[in-house]
Amino acid sequence: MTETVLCPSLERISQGDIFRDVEYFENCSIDNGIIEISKISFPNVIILTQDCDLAQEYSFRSLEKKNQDKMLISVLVAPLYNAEFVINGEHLSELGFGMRVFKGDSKTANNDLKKNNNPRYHYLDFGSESPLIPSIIDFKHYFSININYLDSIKKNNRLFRVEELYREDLSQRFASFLSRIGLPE
Amino acid sequence: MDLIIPEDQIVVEFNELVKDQTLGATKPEMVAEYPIENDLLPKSSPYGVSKPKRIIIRAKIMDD
Repeated sequence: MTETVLCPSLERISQGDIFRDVEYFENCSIDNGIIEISKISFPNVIILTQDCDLAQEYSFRSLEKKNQDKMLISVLVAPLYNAEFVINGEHLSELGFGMRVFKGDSKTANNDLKKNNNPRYHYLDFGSESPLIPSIIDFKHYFSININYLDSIKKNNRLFRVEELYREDLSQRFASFLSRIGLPE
Repeated sequence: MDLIIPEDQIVVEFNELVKDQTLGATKPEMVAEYPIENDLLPKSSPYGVSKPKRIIIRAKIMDD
């Protein structure tokens, strides 16, 4: 069971923070005097950026510094999907995307998913007492988001923070996924 | 889905949630730090149920 803690609203953004209703800016176009902005609203996302970078960035903002060396342009996050939707391959159906269906796969494949033996996914079970439902992160779907935007919404949109041990595990698996080497078949 | 929860009910739910956390934040002053106006805390509406959605905004650029 993944343990979480509540975050005081003014505390800095940290690795493992879970935010609700985060908007990702897709694109913007102008045609014949009409501006069209497309964005995706994710119900839950989790912060993946290394905590030391976030701590330094917070320190940079709090104190007067001679240079902006520790500034972060953006923060890496990944969506938390409803685990049941992922298993059914329908977690992105509202975006018109069909995804792999795990339901009906071998028991081993499904167990691999929940035991975090599949390097692409990270399963989080927050326990029956938590209002957070079992969720799955798809490491392929990480994206970056402006830190000022996150800071502006943290008071109302930050839900919980994953406990240190569990966020270290998540961080290690994400880094491992990013650094994998694809070999020709 | 909109949730309309009476403010006193939010406080009760919120206190119970805080006491269950490993931080053991049972002191009233710690409870007061949290955003009690957050209407998503009640367990009857778990987080993360819905799917990501695309929002498209269109606007006409007005000439000066």
